[in-house]
Amino acid sequence: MDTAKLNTNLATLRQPKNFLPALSALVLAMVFEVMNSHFFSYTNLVSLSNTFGILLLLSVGGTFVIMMASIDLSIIGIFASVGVFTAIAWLPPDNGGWGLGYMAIVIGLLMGLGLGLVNGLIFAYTNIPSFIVTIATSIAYGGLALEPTGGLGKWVWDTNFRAISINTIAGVPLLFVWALIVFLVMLFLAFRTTFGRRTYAIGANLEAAKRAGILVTRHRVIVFAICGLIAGLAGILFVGWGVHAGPDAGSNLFLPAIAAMVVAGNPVTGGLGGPHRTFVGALLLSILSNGLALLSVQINAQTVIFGIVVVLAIMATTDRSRVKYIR
Amino acid sequence: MVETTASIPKKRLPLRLDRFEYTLIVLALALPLFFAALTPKFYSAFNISTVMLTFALYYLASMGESFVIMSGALDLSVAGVLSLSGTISAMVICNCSTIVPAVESAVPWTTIAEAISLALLVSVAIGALNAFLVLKTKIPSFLATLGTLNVALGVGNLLSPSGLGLPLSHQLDFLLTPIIPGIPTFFLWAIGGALVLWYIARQTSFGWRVYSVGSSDRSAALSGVNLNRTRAYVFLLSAFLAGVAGILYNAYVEAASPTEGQSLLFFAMIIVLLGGTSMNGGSGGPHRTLLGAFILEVVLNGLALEGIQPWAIDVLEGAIIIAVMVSLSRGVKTLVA
Repeated sequence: MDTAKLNTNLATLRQPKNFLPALSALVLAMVFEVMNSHFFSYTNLVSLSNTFGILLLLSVGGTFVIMMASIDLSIIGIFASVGVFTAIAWLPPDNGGWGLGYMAIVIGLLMGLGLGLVNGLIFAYTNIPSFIVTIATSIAYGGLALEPTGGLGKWVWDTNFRAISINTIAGVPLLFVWALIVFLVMLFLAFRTTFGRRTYAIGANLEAAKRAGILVTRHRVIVFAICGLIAGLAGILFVGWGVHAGPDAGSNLFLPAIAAMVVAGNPVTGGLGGPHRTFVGALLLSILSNGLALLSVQINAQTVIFGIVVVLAIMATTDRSRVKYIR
Repeated sequence: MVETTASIPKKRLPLRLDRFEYTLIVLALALPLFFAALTPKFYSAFNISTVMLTFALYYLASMGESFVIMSGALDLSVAGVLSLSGTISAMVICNCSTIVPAVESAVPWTTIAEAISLALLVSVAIGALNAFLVLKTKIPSFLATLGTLNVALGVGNLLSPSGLGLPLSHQLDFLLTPIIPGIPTFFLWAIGGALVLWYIARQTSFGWRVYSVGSSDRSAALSGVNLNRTRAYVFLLSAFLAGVAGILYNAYVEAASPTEGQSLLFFAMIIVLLGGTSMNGGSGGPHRTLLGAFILEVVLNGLALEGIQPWAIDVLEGAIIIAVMVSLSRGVKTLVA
């Protein structure tokens, strides 16, 4: 890295908006430790890393979507339906499943990829705003999650299945390790590949990206498919961790996941930010939700807090120079 | 700009239906006949009243949203405002912060007036917050209202004791006094609301301004429409009507449930879009929403009677939304594409 680049990197770090989210995550952790001395206990750290891992997976794929100035609101639908179908595919036939063993996980991942692909194809080829497309598909995916169990869901106690989430490496739960690996891959994709550059280009200026020869339609489809794949992985790992696969899985995670994408400075107007900011955002929000739970704050109060956080974050990051009035 | 002193003709749109709306009416008449031909259960007295009541609920929940979408924006907070308004009015009426059995005692009318005005006031306040977020801080309306939706839902849940519903006994019955025998008054509210809103949309200058802002904000501004004021009124109207719907819903079920919003999430937007009001703004209207709500309820009810599984209905619903969007709202220019 040449000096000029290093200097600009240091200069951007000096702006408050760039270190404030990380700083507030640290401060928040300290505050919770003071208010409830269990915050830094090993048990709580495991629980925190699991929440963080799931949140990171849910939001890191969506970050690429936001980078190209779209949004995917169907991640929870994919998360829940992939979880249910993977559980069904894993469970033995005498428990109402298909008994496919580890193939179940492959099927789950393919399903996530497929659902993301459906989002991408509809969005890229019809030019309907992505938030409408994904609200519509999330209703449909919620329906898919009802299908195999009639809405009751399935319990998966099988330790072989749970191992992929809850086994530990040097005390760190595997779920978190998977999340970290995916995050690093996405980070590499964003900053060291032409794929990442194209994603930013589409978000920064759609018309310029088209003129520069980027196949925008194809690129959009691929980004939505990747987002679906990662949301599906999150759904599978969540079943392994939480034992239950149901259609309402993750209903409490929708708002935190959207918040994690935007809170640390990924403008919904696209072209800026990146997975590293989502990492900080997800960390901040999982510390917040974990700490609030430790302080026995009601889940409804948390909804209010996350709602406010989303609005404030978008308020702080939206690029208003683009248009006079934002639909 | 040139000062004009000549009187400007009053801007009105015709109270006429267009070809698209006639098609919807034909569909709205044909679908019940179709389902009735499939199963006699469809035209049992009980099912007809179920369809009427559910349709009325759908319409009351989505009537205000028509204006927001006509103006080219979106308001996702309707479900939250609806359940918060219901919860607040019920809390004032039963004067309770814990679960109490429904009291049969008469409540003075002042309390009821207080309850209704407080609920409407809070609703309008959320509308004002939406307008502020969208117009002053300039964040996309679907994200701003997604935030206020969750705030309203959360506050409603926090206010209700342990997140459960608040029971009412006949205190709000006066709202649903039978007028025409055999037809639920709840249904008449929806029809009456549609007629009033249709009039507002087509025959008042406010309606004209909403259409013009939606179809081209630039030419609207050039012809002297105050863009921000019109847009702010639209958000206030949407929240106010959602508040009214919350109170009427209380009267109908004789209880207030903070989870009502969860089952209606995004429904307002979906029904308006299904009725054929384009996301592009500047077209459609509350009368189309009425037809959209009716057709949606007939289809959902008819499919359920046919024994179609709920999951298949959900998948179909998603597909229908996309199909309607493809045919009516292609190429909408939004900041978040």
